[in-house]
Amino acid sequence: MRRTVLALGWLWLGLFLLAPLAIVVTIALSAAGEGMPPYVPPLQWSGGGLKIAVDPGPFQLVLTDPLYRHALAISLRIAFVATLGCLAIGYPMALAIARMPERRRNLLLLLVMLPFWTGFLMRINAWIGLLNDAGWIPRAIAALGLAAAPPRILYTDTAMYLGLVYAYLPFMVLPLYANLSRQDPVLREAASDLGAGPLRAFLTVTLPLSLPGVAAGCALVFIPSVGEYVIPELLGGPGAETIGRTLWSEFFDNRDWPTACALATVVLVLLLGVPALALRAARGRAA
Amino acid sequence: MGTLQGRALTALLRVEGLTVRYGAGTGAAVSGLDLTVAAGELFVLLGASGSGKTTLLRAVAGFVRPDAGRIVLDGADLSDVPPYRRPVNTMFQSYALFPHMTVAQNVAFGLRGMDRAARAARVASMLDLVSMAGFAARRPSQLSGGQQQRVALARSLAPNPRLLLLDEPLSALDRGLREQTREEIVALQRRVGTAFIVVTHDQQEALAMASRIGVMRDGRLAQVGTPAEVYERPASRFVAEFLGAANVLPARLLEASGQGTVTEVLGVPLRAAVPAPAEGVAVLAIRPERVRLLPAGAALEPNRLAGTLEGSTYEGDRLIHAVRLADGTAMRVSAPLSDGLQGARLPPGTGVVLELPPEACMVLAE
Repeated sequence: MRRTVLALGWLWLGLFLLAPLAIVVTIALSAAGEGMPPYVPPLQWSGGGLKIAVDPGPFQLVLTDPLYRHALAISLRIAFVATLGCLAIGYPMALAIARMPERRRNLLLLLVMLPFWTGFLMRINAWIGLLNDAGWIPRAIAALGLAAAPPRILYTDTAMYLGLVYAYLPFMVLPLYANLSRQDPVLREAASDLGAGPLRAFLTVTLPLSLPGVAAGCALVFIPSVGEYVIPELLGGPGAETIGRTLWSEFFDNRDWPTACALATVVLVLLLGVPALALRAARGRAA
Repeated sequence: MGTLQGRALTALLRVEGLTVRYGAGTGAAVSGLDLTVAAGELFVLLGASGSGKTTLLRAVAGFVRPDAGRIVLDGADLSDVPPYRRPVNTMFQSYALFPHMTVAQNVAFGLRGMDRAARAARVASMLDLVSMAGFAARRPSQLSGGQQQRVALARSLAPNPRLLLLDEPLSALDRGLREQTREEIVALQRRVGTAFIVVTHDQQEALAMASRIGVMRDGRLAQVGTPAEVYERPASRFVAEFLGAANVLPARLLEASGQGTVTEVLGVPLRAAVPAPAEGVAVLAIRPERVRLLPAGAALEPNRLAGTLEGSTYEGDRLIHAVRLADGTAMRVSAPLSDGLQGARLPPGTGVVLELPPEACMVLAE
């Protein structure tokens, strides 16, 4: 029984993770070519023998051309800011929900997850409607006297960050809530009993014990944010040349599949490092 | 310590008319309770689960707000004082040690405002007090239940509270460890001189530890007194049955005076050396170990009842005889095994006479 379940897991990983990865790496090692698909496979039968033609060019290009390093730096910065934003809003939310009476918590969690039930693009389009120059938010800012005229928000970093924090907030709230709601409330009572006011009890007991949840939430927001394509494309300005947008243009505009695949592989290797570090940090805390 | 009761004593804690309700429309967990605890006392709150003893403790600690009444410590009303400003510490039933801190950090948690050296010295002396000196650098998860219990005790005593509250301090321990730890807590309390309020549901624990016991029932104190007072002069049938075993017989009051009471039980006059209760239907109660078992031929004088032995249970140091009286009432007689006929094994069905000595008879309100 156990073996069957394990085998299913491996089969799943093999089919949907390892096989696509192998294909991507194979394309990354190919030379660009004409036709469809637009590359020359590195292993070919020709004239009765196996011809191996590995082209290290795409990887060299991706690792050396400052264009890609620049895109990666932009993506990491954007993901970092978005993660901080989610943490700043998500932690108080998770804490507040975890400390509600039990019967109210489920409703609030439902509200956190409710946006997932409608289409993602529809919700981003709604943001475009809210943020464009004639939208409610710039007009409200002007009406409140915070700016002389409705400010330009759409197609700026502000709009992009708003969209990212909005879209990824549940990924921060849920693991934090899971951690905070499992904390034994008697520990806070003990801290209070021993003379710690609410702030000190939070800083010395609740916060340190919640760090594994913080690590999980940050990883869940940071990793997909790095590769995010849709939100920077639809809400961000032209300056936000992220890895996601670079990939898109290599793939669809330049039809340079090997370079696109090499870039995807490099980003994947980098991003696997992040959760590994986060996991190690979480384990270190738990011990 | 018997002098504490009902006198003008140096009250450390006064609880006046305390009422606590959990949510509107529910019954009160504690209702109109009055209690005085003196400095240096080891006061035990004894009660079944749901009797309100833990609620009372949490109200004193400040974790629940009273709906009515006052809690006064050293003459100062604590009603609006949050838990972290009360000179009261709690040892929690689950110990509530901080899992991410070492033993030393746990004990030092309540010692803010001390300089580093003084704090380290205090931690060391507290760990020494509970024989945990070698464990300062361990995490709670690396300790046994008994060791965690000691650390929790050291942590709660470290800030030198005016009053220490212990919520079922022994309930998480193995049976063997419990008795030893019980004695250690009593010895520790004598040494540090801090007043302790211990909550327990275990009557044996209460009798062994307390300088005074408060028996709780339905959010009120059914009786407060020294262990001997509460055991030997219970104020009600409830207390008599809750603390130790008691044989309870229906009794009709014949005569009552300051010196004693005469009741009629199954047509036999029974003299008791205590006054009758002021009101209510009286019952006569007697502890199983105070009933004397006589052979069938014994004269049926006052204070003697005839019955039939139904069986005996061997408990190592004693026999528990089950005796049925003529009207069907079941009586238990506990007899030490060295004690002649009392301890001898008799075949079931043997006729016996039970003697209920007047000084052992308790006349109680139903």
